[in-house]
Amino acid sequence: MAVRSVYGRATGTSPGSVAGLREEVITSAPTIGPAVELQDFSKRFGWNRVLRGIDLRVERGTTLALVGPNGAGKTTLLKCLVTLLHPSGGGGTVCGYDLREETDQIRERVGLVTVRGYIYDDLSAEENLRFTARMCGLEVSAEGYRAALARVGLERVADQRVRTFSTGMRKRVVLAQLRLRPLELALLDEPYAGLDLQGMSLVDEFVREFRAAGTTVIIASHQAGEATRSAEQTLVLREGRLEPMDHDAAARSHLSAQDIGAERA
Amino acid sequence: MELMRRSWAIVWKDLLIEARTKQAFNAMVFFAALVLFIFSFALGPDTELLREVSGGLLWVGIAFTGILSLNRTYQSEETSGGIEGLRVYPGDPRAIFLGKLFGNIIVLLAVEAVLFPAAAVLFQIEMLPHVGELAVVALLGTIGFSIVGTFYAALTVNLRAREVMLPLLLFPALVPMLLGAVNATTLILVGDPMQDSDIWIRLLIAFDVIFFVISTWIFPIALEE
Repeated sequence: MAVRSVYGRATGTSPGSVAGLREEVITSAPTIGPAVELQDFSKRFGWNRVLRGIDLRVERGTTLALVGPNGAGKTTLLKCLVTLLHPSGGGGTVCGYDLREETDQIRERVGLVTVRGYIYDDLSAEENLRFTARMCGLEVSAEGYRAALARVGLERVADQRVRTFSTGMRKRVVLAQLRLRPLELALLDEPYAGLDLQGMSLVDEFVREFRAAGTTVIIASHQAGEATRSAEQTLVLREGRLEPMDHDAAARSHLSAQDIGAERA
Repeated sequence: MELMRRSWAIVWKDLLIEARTKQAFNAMVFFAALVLFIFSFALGPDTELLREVSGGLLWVGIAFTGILSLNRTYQSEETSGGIEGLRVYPGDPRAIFLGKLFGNIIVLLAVEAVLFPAAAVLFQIEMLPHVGELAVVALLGTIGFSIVGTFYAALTVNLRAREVMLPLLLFPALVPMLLGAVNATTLILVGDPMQDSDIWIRLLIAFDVIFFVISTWIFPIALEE
């Protein structure tokens, strides 16, 4: 598996360009089917049923906001979609590949940003990107790493250990990490948590770039207003069940998903 | 090829972090030195006795010290979201096992490079004439210890009582390896005119090969949720 990075020199595009990303995604993408399709999907941990009978279809290239209060099962659902967790019942496909059988193909195409991010405190920002690239089999030039960090405004602290970073700066490293490789599906778990206004705008910008490149995006957040701002469709996850939601109303709303949950109850 | 490249990425990352923090190495060296000191005081100045039991003392020290390293094998991933931070990457999950295994072997060998000369001084035994044979035994023993240890560390990483569970599970499985390493080391140090240590070295080789094949084969299953 030798994949050319978004920031690779051989793409023939300037580092960090959206065109470069699109080119890579299109060449590696399976041809048909939705980005995510789940049928009667459930997940339990012991007796605790976290996801119950979820039916979900997310079309390719679209952005879905998945809102819900804390503990609703948003993170569990995202981890199931990237095959870190296996379904307890039901099944489905991600990027056209079976969730139970074709986990490696799915992991090649799906990127997950968790609240804390998969980054190491005692590595520098650039070393973290370098590690990600090596683990994904990406070819990235030294300039490519710098360009990726410049894109998130961290070029000046590229050599500093992540341990010294603020929450917002850490999140930027995670975004740079995600942007490093071509993706078909980007899963963002609470991407706005701990970010200032500038950081939030950066996330919105990233989502727009992903969409322009044909990447499907799922944003899971308890902050309904922020999550729906960049999305075309909104669903509420409450007590492990998916419910439709008036997207425009949610986008206008400054209510948190906690409030939405309380109102509905 | 891809498997090895990803394994070395993990080794590079772990050793870089260890070189910066020195948490595992410093703790292991001090602990190992402490164990040797305690044995040395407990057994007194009888150099003949010390030479006869030096193989056992050395490997007890290595085994106890190695546990410290093994406990940190996957715990060091916790700051980055745990072992799922490595599982989220595409590719053969055996790369995680191999990467962690190579890392453990390198760190443990570095500790042994301090431990063996320290034991030579404390127990007043001449190691220099046997350095080649001792290096072979140390390498084979360390590889065997790290193979089984890295595997069991993955099994116990999500347990609440992992610090207790790891040695409880590990040491019974290590009996053949410890038997081989202790006997081979002792024979080399006290004199081995009949080359009896060869039998124990063969046992170590067989142990390493068998456990490497089994551990590498079933590691992806052990790693699953």
